[in-house]
Amino acid sequence: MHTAFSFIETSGGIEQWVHNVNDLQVLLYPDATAPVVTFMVTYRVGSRNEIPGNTGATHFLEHMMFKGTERFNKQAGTSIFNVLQRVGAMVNATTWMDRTNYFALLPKVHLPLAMEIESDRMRNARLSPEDVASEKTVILNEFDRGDNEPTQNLYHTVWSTAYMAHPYHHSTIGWRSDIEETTPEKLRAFYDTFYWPNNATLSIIGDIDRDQALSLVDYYFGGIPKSVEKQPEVSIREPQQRGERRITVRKQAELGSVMLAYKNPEGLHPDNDALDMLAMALGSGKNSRLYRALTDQGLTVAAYAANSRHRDPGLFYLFGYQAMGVKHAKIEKTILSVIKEVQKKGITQEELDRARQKIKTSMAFDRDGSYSIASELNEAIAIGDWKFYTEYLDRIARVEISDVQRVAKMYLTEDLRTVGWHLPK
Amino acid sequence: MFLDSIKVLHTGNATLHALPTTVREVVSWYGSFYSFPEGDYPDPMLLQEIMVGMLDKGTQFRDKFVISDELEKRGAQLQLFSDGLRIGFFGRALKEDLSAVFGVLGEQLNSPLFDLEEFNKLRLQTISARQRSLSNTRYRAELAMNHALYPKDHPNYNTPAEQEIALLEKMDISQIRDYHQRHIAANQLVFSTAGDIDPEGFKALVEQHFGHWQVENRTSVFAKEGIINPGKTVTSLPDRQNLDVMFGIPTPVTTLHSDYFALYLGTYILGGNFSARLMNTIRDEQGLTYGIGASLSGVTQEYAGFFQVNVTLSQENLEKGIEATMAQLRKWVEGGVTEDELAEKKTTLAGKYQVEMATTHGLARAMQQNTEEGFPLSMLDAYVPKIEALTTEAVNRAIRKYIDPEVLHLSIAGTLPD
Repeated sequence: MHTAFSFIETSGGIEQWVHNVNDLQVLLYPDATAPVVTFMVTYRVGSRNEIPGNTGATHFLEHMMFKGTERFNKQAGTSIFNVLQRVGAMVNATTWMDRTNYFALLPKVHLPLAMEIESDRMRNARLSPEDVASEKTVILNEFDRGDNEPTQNLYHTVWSTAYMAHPYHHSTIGWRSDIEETTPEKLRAFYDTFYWPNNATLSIIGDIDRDQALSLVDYYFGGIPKSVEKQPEVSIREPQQRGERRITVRKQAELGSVMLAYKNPEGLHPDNDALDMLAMALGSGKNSRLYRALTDQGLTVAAYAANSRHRDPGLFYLFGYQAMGVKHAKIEKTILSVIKEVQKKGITQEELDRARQKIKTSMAFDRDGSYSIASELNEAIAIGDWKFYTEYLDRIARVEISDVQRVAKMYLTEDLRTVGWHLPK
Repeated sequence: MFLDSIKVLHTGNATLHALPTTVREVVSWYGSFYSFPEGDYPDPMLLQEIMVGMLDKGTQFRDKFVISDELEKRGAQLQLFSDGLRIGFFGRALKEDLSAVFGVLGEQLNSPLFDLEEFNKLRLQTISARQRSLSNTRYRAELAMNHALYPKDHPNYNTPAEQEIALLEKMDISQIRDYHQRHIAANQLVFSTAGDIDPEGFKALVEQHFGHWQVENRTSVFAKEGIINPGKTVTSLPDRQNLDVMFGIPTPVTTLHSDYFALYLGTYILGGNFSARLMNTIRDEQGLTYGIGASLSGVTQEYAGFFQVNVTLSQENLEKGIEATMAQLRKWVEGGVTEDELAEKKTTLAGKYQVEMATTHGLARAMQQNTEEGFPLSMLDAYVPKIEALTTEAVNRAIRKYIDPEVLHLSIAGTLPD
């Protein structure tokens, strides 16, 4: 037992520890299959924590974290990418609605190096005006790249229409004008609010010795104090939607697409487990209902369904990529008839069993390599409980076909629907 | 040492590389064979793509939904793909499902249904997908580069989407059946598998489904040479504020060429990862792009590929970004790489190699790729020492010998600034 940490619990072979002084959460999963380790820091901050005028701050900050600290920076010849990639690490970071994560998949002997860097930039990021200025144009190019894609445009516009008050209204990259107007001071304030050990979780997966790993964490992160102020809660709740909303995106392309979205409950709500099964029955594989009704009939090139689980209520959505010569209205009508059929008759036990088995096998595949586990844990942390990952099979085992029909009736209603069409111009 | 752990087995005309690991339950495998996409067809590569696309659309024994259910109820992955001169496949399954999943692969390759209705559906879907690609800046920039550097009878040449659409409209199911009959053969038929695997058991599966495959002597009829083509191609697309820009030049370097590793390492130093020169300067210092990189593309053991630099630029930075990239290219060729850069990227590639081998998928892919590139299995152990032995002189000599910045072709796709 390590004296600097309190052991909290074990679930699915993953141990949870908390640092006794700064409340840093640590998840450990020793697996010596290969001599590599995935080290990941997840900060519980995402675009959900942004306010109008400051959208895209989480993502901008993620970029700035690679500009480094006094110790790790390009001018000193110790840029973070250089130092980590030099030892063969796969390095990157991502920002999403409820979290930001930084990770390195690297040979196990270099784990201390990854920890040294992450601990340093947790509180010592430089955020210089020069770096902010040069990174701004990089992010604007990233924005333009995304904006080029009609499908991405449609996706963001549907979210913005479905969520009018809640911060899920804006995409993670933010509005272009907010990116343009970002200042080092705004980013510093954001950093000083959210980048603290008590708002972070370290996931260490792979060829590790538990005690050594915890000693390293204590050595590198133990001296960082916890924040004086608690991170502000997001209190805003989306007002009740009272009727279907429709939008169109007109953008040059040869073919368009159709998206139907429905509000789902907050990520950890058990109804989402049934909605997950519904999404798989509707949109995963050749035996899915959307494939049979749309793609196999020549109405779409591809079609899928997804249940997007977040800390707060998100969206259950269905997507169809228009095939040549097919009207948007026909695709939409067909999707609606597929939904109606499920609401009326439910799904079969065979469909439910198939969906469960796909997930079960996928989780077995996750154990083939450390990065997949860390990545799944990252999303579970984001929605509010890391054990969501380890308990997921139990959660979906409790779903019955009657639950799937019930949630289809309850959530996939006209009043909660947002419909989007991408119309090529 | 990989060589000590890999079992090499032969059955019929197939070769099998099996690497048992300590991972539990999971088995991954790759496989491929030479298909020689040539013959009296208007576009053999396109025909091959459609033929391969038809393989999961039902067999003589089971329809596509039954087959799909066979895989989906097990959560198994199985993909077949047309890969230039080869047809390949990838699978991943739980150990207990291996026999059933491998059985599906055998059935798809040996006894496809080639149903007319399915063919027409796939044709329509492919036409739609090609139409969709016409408004994609990356695809358009690559295609224009491809046409600038290769003649029509080179394996790296891609037919323009508009022509492919016209060919697809005329394509006949009998051509698909004929292509399958003529081009499915045990030419360099190789499988690589890793994970919770019993090598003899895997061999028995290969024997059962592929043991009867015969070798057919064929020779490739493709052109060997690319074209050095200085100049610029602009593909103007409306409503695309981000432009995809490419610089390219063919090289005579195949994977088996004595300069391959030197040119590969030199290219990696220029634009192989986030800490390479191009990201360091064009993105990190100058803020001109979100993404820029350099690579060797389309290289096989028989055919040399081309050196390319890709960069995405917003309208307002188009000119500046192109100039800055050219300046870096000239500096790289004229000044060469430094001792420090060489040392850094050597350790990068050694570590990266270890990380890539950390999954059964990565191990199977590495073994398969190594064979397809024409190397003996011993190269899996020799790769890192070979990279470590490269000198700055060798790398800089290779760069200067094959890359002349003044004759690179430039391809731009998107909405040009006013």
